Amino acid sequence: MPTMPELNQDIRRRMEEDLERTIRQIPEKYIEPVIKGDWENIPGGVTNYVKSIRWGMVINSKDKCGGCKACTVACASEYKHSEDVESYNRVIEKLEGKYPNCRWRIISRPCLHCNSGFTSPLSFMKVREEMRKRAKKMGVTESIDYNTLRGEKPPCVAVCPTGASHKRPDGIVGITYERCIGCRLCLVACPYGARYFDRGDFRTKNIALGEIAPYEASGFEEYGRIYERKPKFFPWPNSPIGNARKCQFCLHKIYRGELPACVLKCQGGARIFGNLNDTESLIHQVLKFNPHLQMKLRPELGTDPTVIYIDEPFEFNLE
Amino acid sequence: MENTIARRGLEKTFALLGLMFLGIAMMVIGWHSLTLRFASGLTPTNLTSSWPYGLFVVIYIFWIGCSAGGVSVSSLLDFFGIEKKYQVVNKIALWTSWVALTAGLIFVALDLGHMERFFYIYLSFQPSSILWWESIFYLVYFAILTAKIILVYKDRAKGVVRGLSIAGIPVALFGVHAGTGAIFASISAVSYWHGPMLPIIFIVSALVSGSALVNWLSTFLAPREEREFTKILAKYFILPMLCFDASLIFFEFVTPLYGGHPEHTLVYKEVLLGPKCYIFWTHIVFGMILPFIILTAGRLRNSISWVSLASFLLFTMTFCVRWNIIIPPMKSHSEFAHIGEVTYYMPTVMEWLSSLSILGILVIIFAIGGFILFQKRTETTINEGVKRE
Repeated sequence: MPTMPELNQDIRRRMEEDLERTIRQIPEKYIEPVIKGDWENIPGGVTNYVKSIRWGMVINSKDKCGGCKACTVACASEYKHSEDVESYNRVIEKLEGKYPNCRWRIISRPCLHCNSGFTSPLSFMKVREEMRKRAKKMGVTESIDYNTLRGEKPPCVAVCPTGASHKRPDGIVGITYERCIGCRLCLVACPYGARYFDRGDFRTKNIALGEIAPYEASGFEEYGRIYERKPKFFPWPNSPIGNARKCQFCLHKIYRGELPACVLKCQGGARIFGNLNDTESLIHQVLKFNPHLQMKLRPELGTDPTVIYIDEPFEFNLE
Repeated sequence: MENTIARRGLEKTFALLGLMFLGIAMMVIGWHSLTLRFASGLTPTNLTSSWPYGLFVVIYIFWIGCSAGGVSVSSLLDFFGIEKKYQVVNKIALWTSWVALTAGLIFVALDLGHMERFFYIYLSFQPSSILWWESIFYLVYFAILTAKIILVYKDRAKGVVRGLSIAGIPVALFGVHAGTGAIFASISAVSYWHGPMLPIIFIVSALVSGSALVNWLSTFLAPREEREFTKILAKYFILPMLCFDASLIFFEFVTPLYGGHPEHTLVYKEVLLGPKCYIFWTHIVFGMILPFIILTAGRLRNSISWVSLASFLLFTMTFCVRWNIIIPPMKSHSEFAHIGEVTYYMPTVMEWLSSLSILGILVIIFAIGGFILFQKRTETTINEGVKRE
């Protein structure tokens, strides 16, 4: 059974067109503030439009992903990751079954940008009230479908004590580096191991002359700002050392019309990126084409991730 | 009579001096490692993305537990109205709790990637974060303890002291220590932690370790006439709490193993039978069975020396309990999500020595505080009583 609809154009070109169609609605002068998350200086209309976007990714690990790890390398290159972080995207390889009835499962896992996972009593009461009103309107007996109970925050955002970990209106979960205290509770709370702690290692530190190579010491862009990983002698304000870090769907690229690094470098065309709320987009088309092969990691936790796999169910055990 | 008083004063002085010299030695031995921690961040540790929590978090929860348990001894004395009779023990309990709380907070700060930004917690409103709530409770508890120590030392405002004792128990036990357990228990991604048992286990083992610490210190820092209290505390409080703690551990392990679901049993099997299982069994033998024998055997439990030994074992072996709460679940977290990295965490020499140095500083602070605070209120009261007779 084919897992991709018939397309009359290059996948990458199609995704770029979808991206362009989505960001075209945002006036150019507000692109940088949207990337930086400077919502106070953005008009309400633009913020409301950004709220209507839901960035997502579909990864076809059934028959497109070959586990080449080009996505991992692309991410590492984009953000100049050191050995302790390595890459925001990991390729998980798991042997399922026992020989001779065994097979390798390969799952390329960026941050899944969960939509829920933490439900407060208030949100529970709100949903129950909505269901009551709907039942009354329809003249039927109220019955609560707990599957539709959506939590408010992803688990990593719920546990953050300073609010550094936050969910943006467009669905991307980000970290405000300047507020992060490096407690690493979000690392432990993430059910997918998709968060990392930058403790300050440098790949090239001890190789030659004890100096860090220029490529590693120079800055990189993340969250619309230039950061330089400076050695931890002093808490440099624009160094992400000591912070939790994670994939943010290459936020600084997507709002400028470029695809995320991992999507661009995927050799098998396994990664489809786009606005899940755009019914004309390729990502929407691929999901519609595969109604029965949509797989989310650890669905039992109710995190509702925005990274969906075209694959059979996968037992993702962290324990 | 006066010679006896002087001899007792010397005994306590020598004990505190001994503690001070011990603290200085610990501080000096680990000083370089401590400066390395501040200069290089967490790079000299074995803490990584795949293994985020280690020795510093273990020590943090250990000392927070001791603090909460220690203040319960002071509250018990207030509750039964015998704080005047055992006033030095009361002061030991309060001061130990204060120093233990400070130790816990220092170690959690040591574990942070950006400890200089800790105040952002107090500038934010994050009610969904249990760590945020805990930071508020730590502050409130610290204020209660400090106020109580000052008022008890100055022997003033007895009504306020009583009020602080009443307020201190729920804040210490439920807010601070059960809350610390709830930080981990609320994380559904780690099924070993997730559930209602962990906060209860934290409370009970805090009562055991904290009261045992105060009891042990009282056996050589309190005046001889007050040392009888250590036997009373051991018999009527520590022993029942130990039995309760043992039953919790029993149910904590037997229940999931009985169920047999691999996702839940893996970490329990690791703790009971894995390569580091000696940590668990050391606690069972030296931290439970041996103290239980001492505290139940008639001749032994009436000897202050044996009670001191049992209390010391109970207090120190709780470290093994804390280790087994934090470290084994991290192994499972590490193995799957970050393949090819550390297979088992062991603290580096830098982590051990920097911890030793911090503890040395706190022992020095404890000893200095002891010189000021651990005075019986005072010998003039005894002399006045003698004159009246």
